[in-house]
Amino acid sequence: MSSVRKEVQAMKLFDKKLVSEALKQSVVKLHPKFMVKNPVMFTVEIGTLVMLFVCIWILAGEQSQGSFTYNLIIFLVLLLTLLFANFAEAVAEARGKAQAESLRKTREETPAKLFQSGGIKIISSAQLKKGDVFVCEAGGIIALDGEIIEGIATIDESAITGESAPVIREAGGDKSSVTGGTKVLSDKIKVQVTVEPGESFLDKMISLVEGASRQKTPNEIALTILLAAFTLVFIIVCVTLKPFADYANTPITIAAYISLFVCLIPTTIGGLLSAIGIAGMDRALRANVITKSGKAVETAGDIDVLLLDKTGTITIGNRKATHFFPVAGYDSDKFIANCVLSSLSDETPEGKSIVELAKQSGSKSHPADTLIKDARFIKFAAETRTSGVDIANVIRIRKGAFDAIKNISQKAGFVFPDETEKNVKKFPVMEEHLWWCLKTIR
Amino acid sequence: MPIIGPVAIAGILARKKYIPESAGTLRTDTATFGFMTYAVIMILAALAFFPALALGPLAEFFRYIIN
Repeated sequence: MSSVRKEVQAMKLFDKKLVSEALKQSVVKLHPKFMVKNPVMFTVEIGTLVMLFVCIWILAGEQSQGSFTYNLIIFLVLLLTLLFANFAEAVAEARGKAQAESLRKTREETPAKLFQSGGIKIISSAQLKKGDVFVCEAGGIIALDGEIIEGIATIDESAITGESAPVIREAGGDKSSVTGGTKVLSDKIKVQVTVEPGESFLDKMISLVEGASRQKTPNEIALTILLAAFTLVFIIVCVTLKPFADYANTPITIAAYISLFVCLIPTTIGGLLSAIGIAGMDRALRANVITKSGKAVETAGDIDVLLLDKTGTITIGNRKATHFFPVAGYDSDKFIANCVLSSLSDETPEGKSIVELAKQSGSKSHPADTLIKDARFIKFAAETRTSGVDIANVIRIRKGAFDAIKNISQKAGFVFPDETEKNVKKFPVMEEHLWWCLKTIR
Repeated sequence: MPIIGPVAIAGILARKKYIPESAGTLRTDTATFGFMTYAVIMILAALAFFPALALGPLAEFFRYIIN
């Protein structure tokens, strides 16, 4: 995914191809069929048409509507307003499409080792056809959906299924199918392509992005109704102006009516509303989040808590120690050494990662150097949520979940440091996941 | 007739689900919100009535001053 991300970020706001496409679309969107979806801009379009007729009327010899240049300028300004609103929307739409395109491109650029009678030839995965046989080795990405015809391999399918543990796939039997885009972790397999180009699992996912229909969000609907109401009010204002003007003997030209009307109605919001919605989807996509509609973006904004069971897809699936936080005044090296001692008998990813982190931090007093006599290791258990070591029944070192440790230390008659609690609170979401070390000496 | 609008809005609001207050809730008890609402009401009213006023009373007033 990272390569996709880079490509997306590298894409300029005004790409030449993108702009020419958007310009074309902005003219096409002038069709009343598209314009009627946006009542504010639709009334502007009607005004533009009226101005066009006024211009023709003047050319035909009408004197009472002011000069031709004046009317023509107003017509052109209105037309430009319409085109710009359409252009903004078209640019936003084209960018979304371009991103789906770049997704597809990255997929097609995955190299595949085509197996031929003469040997192995490297081609792009887009050139693979149904029935072709390709070879995939450890570390390689499987180019296309297919079936293993020779070999056995462990495959990381987390990108597709969310399962963080690698799965074993082998030739023959019901576990022989592999999906394009997954990674081979070990060994070498020969795969026969079982799908036609453009019909693979990934292609289907990409077309899901492309075919995303633009649903209006509840806020957008509310805003559209509000703007339509404003437009209605100002239509009444402009229409009632006519009798006023006639009564006061000050005739107002059609051009003046229409320009007053367009100035009054909220054209800017009305014109750019859809562009804003698409821009939201675009921003989500840049963060590698695929949203099918503007509605989804809005819902995403309201999310407080997110529950996932697909931990393998989103994360590496294991909790990991990243920092040691000794209480002020306590020697950092000694603290790390104690952390390691208490984690040695913890077989969970947390325990292992603490030992790992201590090794990386280059702690001077590594426990392997200190001779431990009469050590009794206490294994990590889900009930106690702690693990540790008793050394010669004198020193007891425990580590575990924050509340479990707090409980133990207070029962043993120690004051639990406020600083530790503060440190835990610094990571509110992770609270349960942070593991704390505590040394109790009797 | 004008009562139809507010009654319809009340009907829609009555059917809405209750959503607990969160960081994303629009706060309606701040000076900013009050000012915004006031400004919107004033600007809308001004825009709606100025064109007509400009033709009638205001035009007469200026003619009176000039003469």
